[in-house]
Amino acid sequence: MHELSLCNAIIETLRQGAEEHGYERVKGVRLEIGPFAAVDAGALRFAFDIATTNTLAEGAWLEILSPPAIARCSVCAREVVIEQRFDPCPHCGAQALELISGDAMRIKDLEVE
Amino acid sequence: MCSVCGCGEGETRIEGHSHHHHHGHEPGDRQSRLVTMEQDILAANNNHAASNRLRLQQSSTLALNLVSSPGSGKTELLRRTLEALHDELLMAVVEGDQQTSNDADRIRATGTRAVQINTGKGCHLDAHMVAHALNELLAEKTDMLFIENVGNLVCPSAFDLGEARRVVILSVTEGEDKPLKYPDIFAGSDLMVLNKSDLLPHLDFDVQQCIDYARRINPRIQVLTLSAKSGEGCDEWYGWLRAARQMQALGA
Repeated sequence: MHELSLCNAIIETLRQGAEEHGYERVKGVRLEIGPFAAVDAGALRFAFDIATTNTLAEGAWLEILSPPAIARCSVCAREVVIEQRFDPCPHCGAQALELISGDAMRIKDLEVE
Repeated sequence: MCSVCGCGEGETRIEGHSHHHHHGHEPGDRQSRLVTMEQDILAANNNHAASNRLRLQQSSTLALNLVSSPGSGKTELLRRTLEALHDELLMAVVEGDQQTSNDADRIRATGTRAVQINTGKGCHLDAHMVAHALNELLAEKTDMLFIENVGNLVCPSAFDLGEARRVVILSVTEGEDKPLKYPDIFAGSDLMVLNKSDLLPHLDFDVQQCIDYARRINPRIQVLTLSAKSGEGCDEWYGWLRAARQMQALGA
């Protein structure tokens, strides 16, 4: 159950944040999950509801942002938005695209009280 | 999650350890506000991994994370390697499986120290589990540490354990296009070992095609073809291990 262990990691971060930032409850969580991140957003959402029960984030809303993935071609130096990870460069055809962004799994910000 | 050491999986069992779990707060009554976090969800694992990596460097231990699907022959390759290098290197093994200590028992039968981690329902080893195993194993001088991950071509790819090298083991009975189907784990590995080469005469497996696919996903991946059963190609594998150890001593 992978998404559940990711939610546990999120909740632990929320708990540590409570001490650092001085809040007691989390009302909402905004995540950034890139299109190539190793997680399924739907499964994460489902797991989040379960994992937050009886925690400081019980009932919190969850927003998942998914900005487009960007890669740079190491042959022609163009930056492109990509939809498939290991495709060739659409400009020069080289098998040389390196991901600049798109596989992140981040907690952006929280609504707390 | 355990507030003492940060572990989450209540079912994780590490030989010789147990964990206690604490729970949280009472709700307060305050004004809503926004707190910026900008933190990687796996930050905790990455921190444990960095700490493991530092410990391993300080103890001059080369750590290898062995990943593959179940049944690729990881344990058998390990057994042969441990027997072959027994007089040359001080070695130890971390075994990861959902259940049983069968693999750790097989390793110990070679006279090598091993710790078994049972993940219960968990699908991968993480750096925190490995940190606990290091507490046991690094108590004695260890030149080379093999971490045999849970058999799974998907989940282990996201979890840095603090290893120096990641080795993906693919057996020739599995199909040439596995690198295309499971790109993350091949993209994240330094070496691909094609195992069970002794069976090639009975299969239609195209070795060069498989290597081409792997290089498409990871242009810098190194490749070795061998048979843990017959020993064919294993001398090159031992050579690779020795070279990796020398590179680590130079700080690479």
